Amino acid sequence: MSRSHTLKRQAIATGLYPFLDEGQLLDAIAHWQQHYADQPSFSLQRFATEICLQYGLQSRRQQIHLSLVQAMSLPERLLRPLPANDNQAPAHSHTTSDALQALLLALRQNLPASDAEQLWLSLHRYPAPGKQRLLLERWLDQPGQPLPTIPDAVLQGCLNHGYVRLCELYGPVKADAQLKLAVEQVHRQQPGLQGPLRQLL
Amino acid sequence: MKYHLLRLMLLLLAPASAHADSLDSSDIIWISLAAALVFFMQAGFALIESGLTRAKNALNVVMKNYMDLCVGSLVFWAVGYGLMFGNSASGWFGESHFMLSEASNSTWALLLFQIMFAATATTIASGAMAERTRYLGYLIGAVVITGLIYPLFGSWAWNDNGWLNQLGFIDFAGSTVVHSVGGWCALAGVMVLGPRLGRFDAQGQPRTIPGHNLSYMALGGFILWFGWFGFNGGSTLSASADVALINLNTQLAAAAGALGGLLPLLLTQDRARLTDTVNGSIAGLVGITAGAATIAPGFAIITGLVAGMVASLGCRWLLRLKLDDVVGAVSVHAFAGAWGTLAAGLFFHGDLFDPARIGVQLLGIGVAFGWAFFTALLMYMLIAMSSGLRVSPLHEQRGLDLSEHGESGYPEFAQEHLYSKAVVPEEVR
Repeated sequence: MSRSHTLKRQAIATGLYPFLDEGQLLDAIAHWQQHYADQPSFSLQRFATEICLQYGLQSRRQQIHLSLVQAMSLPERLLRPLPANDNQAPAHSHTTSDALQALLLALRQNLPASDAEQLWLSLHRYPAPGKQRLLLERWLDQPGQPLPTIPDAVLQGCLNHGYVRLCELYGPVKADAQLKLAVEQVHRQQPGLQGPLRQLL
Repeated sequence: MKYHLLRLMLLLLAPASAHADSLDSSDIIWISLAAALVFFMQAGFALIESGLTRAKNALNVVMKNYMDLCVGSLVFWAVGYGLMFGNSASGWFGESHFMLSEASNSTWALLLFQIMFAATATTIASGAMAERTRYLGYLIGAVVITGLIYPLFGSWAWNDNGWLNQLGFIDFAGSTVVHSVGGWCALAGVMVLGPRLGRFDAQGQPRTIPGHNLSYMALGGFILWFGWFGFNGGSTLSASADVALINLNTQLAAAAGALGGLLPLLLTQDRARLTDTVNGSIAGLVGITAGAATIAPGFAIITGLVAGMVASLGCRWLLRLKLDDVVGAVSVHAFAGAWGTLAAGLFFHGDLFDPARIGVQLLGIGVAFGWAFFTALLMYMLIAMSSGLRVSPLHEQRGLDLSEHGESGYPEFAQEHLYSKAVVPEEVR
């Protein structure tokens, strides 16, 4: 995660801080990251509208939008630190997301096209809770994009869902072999993901 | 009157004090040695079952063998022995000898010997249900088998006043009482659990899931065979010369069983497989257990040969029914045990093919199935609904060594880079 990206997240936190409690703030930052992080600055208006609708703050929409715009232009020393959970979670979960992304892509690459399609279809059907399901589905549709922050347990469940499909397709012995092959491939190509991979498996 | 009341109270407090030493020292020593041999069979079961499972589950199945022996010993001492061998006025269950703390040396020897038998009956299910069963759920099942299912049928067949015993049911060392009962419980467990992930393809054809170490299986087979000389030989319950014929029959039936296990393969021009050979020999041992003392060596060979074939064909039949018995325990213990019990009636020395005896044997076989299978089915269904019987697919993926025990049977080999103790999160452990 780049420094400027982190600063923008801090700015969002600073701008929203007077209006939301900590839990709402965390959700709002995640929402911004998923939908607005790569958008131009004028999209803050739409973001503010969504936040107001989400938390029943329609009467304060202008104030919130103004607060966000001002926060975006504040110097770094005046920005609020990110909420504690947000500081830790992305660094941990995001890399596990990277590991899942690399592993699933390696698995897909090693399978015949029709079986890879079957695997992807089954991953689409993984019943992840609410918003996370949407995020996973979005990534499965565009696997070239980075996989957003998702809790480890959901990522593990997703991988296991794929493993069960591999067992159905090939039996557990070959499914284990395919998983092992994919893990070895990720180890070779992205040695930095060894730790997150272990966490995932 | 007061004297009688006092005497009754003393008898209740120390029930075994009523027992005189019915066995002499040599009998007691022989039974104790035989008990040790039967104990050693647990190592055989552990090796066979571990060898036939994948490396990631090797330790879990050993743990089940280890702990069902421990739990089973305590439960059988507390409840099972009394139900099975206590005074039985009705012929349906024993009503004394629970939690024995005072008894004669003869009773101690018999209790120890019978504890080993109970543990044998219990451990049969572990192999059949391997690779997908929750440890706690399995142990709860083991408690019920040792404390209720096995001893109750045992009291019908082996208690002096047991109703099957009174009818003349012959099961010398437990083809049905021990092995079929254990095998029927295993069948119930397998049915409630369902097959392992991916065991059958979309067309219902079975996929091979090879065990991780077939040498273990062979070594386990040797150990079981060795222990069986105590299992059958010790069932004389005395250091008598009868042991000679009993153990000769045991040897011949095991050898013929191995051939019987191979025969269906040879007839279908398949290759001779170690798994069928070892299972065939164990089926031969199971088969001869009922009639080891009452049939001639020639018939022991026939009994073993057919038992081996029954086990081999039984495994294939179960696969057609999409029942996933990892080690073939149902075929080897339940089917071959049923055959052996029938053979004990068919080949009874000096009175071959007596229809009345055969009828009683068939009745015993049927009653064993009806009682053990349906009770175990209900039990495993209740366990599945309460504490849970099957592990989650995630645990099946990781292997039960890590997910159930937080240890690995092969930490330096196998799939260490895939699954290791360090990476299993607490909520999964």
